[in-house]
Amino acid sequence: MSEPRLRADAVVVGSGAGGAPAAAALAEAGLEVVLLEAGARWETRDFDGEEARMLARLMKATTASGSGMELYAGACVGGSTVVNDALCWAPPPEVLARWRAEHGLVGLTESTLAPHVERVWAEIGAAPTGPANLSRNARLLEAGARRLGWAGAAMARNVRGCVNLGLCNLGCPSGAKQSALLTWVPRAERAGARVLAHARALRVAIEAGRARGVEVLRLDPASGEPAGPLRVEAPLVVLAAGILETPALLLRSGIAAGEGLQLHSSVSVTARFAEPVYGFFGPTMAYAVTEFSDVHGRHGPGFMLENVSVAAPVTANALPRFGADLERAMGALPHLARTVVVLRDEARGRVTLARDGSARIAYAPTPGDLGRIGDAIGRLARLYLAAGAEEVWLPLEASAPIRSEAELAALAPRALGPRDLTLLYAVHLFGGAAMGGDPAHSVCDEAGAVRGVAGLYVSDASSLPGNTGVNPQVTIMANALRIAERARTGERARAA
Amino acid sequence: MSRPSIGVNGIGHRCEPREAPGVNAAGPTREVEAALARLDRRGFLRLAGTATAAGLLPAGCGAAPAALAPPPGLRLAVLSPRAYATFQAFALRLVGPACSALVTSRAIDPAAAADAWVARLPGLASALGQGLAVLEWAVWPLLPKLAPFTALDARAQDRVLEDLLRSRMAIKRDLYRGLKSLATLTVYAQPAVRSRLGHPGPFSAEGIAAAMRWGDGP
Ligand SMILES: Cc1cc2nc3c(=O)[nH]c(=O)nc-3n(C[C@H](O)[C@H](O)[C@H](O)COP(=O)(O)OP(=O)(O)OC[C@H]3O[C@@H](n4cnc5c(N)ncnc54)[C@H](O)[C@@H]3O)c2cc1C
Repeated sequence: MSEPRLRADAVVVGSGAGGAPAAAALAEAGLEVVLLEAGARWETRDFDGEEARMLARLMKATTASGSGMELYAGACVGGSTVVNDALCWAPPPEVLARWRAEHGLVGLTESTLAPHVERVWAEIGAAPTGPANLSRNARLLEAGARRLGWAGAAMARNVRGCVNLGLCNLGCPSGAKQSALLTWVPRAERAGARVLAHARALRVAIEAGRARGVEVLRLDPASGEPAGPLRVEAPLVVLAAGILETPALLLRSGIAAGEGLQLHSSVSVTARFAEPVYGFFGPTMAYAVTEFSDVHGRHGPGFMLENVSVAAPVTANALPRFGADLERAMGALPHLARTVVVLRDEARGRVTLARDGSARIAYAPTPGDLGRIGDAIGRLARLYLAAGAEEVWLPLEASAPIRSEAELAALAPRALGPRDLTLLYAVHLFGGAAMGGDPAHSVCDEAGAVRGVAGLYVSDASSLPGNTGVNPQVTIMANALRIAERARTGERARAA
Repeated sequence: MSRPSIGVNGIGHRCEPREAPGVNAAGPTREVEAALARLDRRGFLRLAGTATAAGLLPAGCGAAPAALAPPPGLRLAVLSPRAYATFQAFALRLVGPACSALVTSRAIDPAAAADAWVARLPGLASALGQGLAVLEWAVWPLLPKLAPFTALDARAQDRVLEDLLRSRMAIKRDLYRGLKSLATLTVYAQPAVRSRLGHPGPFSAEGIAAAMRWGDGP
């Protein structure tokens, strides 16, 4: 018996920041669209704030060889936007300029992206964060920065009516966060798109140099076990399965990809205050120290410091030591504040295929990156001490807490290795199927079209040629809208 | 832990009736060597070499202590009972006495939670099985006492953890990191632990109000 088939004008693989806007744009332009998502579809009413259950349902994790870095992404309808922290930044002009200069993306300018950024901003309800959503956790970061004279600001967030639950990473039970699940996906559906959850794309069907559709494995919703094959036939295929999958999908389809992966490496510093902070409530992230950023007009060493929730599991994971030491630190949970370093890495990694066809990620921060991480955590310790912290824990696995400037100054300077750090992780992942002007060094052209295969596009973070230096969802969504437009007009022109 | 390329059942099942097809039956020595080879890092291979040369890899496969065994009726999806016990032992030492009491009283079961968590992530499941087998059988050559991890007393187990986290071998630190990530997730995401730590639950109106109150600041 032959496998079941679906026919459409376009098939989009992945329903996150890069896939859902593309699907909406294509459907609204009148195309019959199928949107495939490997994960399940959960709705706001399913988000009950219970960490173990929600993380298992909504997220996936993997580890990079070469550094042991942990990489996290969403794995449900809406992708990482369902579990992200709702922070919104416009694409930095310096970054676009660099992509033009170094990657030949001459058409990628502020003005070409502007209409798409505006559309994204409006669709997801991005707006400045006001005082009512600045938690003590955020304010302590702000207070320390002020005392040291460092620049910072509350960040814009894509929320409507945030009630400070502190559950942004668990799907947002109040429905305030305007993830793709609540914005682009329903928009696509209203325009007639068909969303298939539990549908894992295995490879692109390519015949005579043309994409013909996608070979899919349906998964049983209850068990997650394979439930049979499906073929979605369409002359236009848009890949947006995220960095953990899009490059692997291309490789499985016989297309060279996977080079040039780049991340924002992250570690966090935790501080204990005499007064309760209740840092597990309030927006999971809201305030950024921008002093050391190298984008948006700044010329620092290239990191942002952003307050982050003290959710118990990740806080424990980021603290050094174990046993009684860990218990003492965690025993003060309501008094803890935490900030994450978001580093604009210079390292590059790659995605290859494991023997079973899954993605294998190799990535290690460079010595320069690690030096800047060391610099960032030292500065954060100073900031927290300036804000009145009684103890500060650096993310160094074997370290003791710091109680004074003198103790901080007495720390012997040393070269850090990635494994000296407690929890070194990344949630901002870029590249692996990047656009570029030079066919020899880019998987996609500037329109996001995969070279050598007509009708195949990449619209997610894998198509970006490098990191953005800021939280990237707006850049990814705006780029996805741009690519959907280029794909639609490009394919129409080809057909004519 | 890096993504390995073998099937879900990985290793650690050798002594169990639910043995996965293809898992070698030549005893724990082969089992550990196979695990080390699969983890495929130079550091691990060195560790395997040292352990083998010293004749330290175990020849028997006794049961883990009963206190660490899965409760009757618990159906494990991917972990073997031995791997379950090893994870439980690791988690007990990691989180300190107060949370450990919740584990020993069976108020929470991190190993069962870990089993459920990794069951849907085949790559991680096999890596976890391998990592736990290595912790149970292969890191102990670094200690004076020749016993699997689950059979060591608390101080000796702490020395193993200390050795892992300070080791100059990347693979040993990766093992510690991977297990710590999973143990912190499976212990601290439990409501019983949360309330013990002073977290009033995800929807506490008073807690939220307190978190948002700033006044004149610090
Ligand atoms: C915890 C967390 C917090 C973050 N916080 C922020 C923030 O505050 N602000 C910000 O700007 N950015 C944030 N980010 C990053 C941002 O959300 C991502 O960069 C962005 O969503 C990536 O878009 P994407 O389309 O590339 O991938 P995703 O949004 O991850 O979407 C990929 C989708 O494809 C699906 N998929 C994978 N493989 C297949 C397959 N084979 N077949 C079908 N479907 C498949 C996945 O399940 C997933 O749903 C955060 C990310 C995380 C994980």
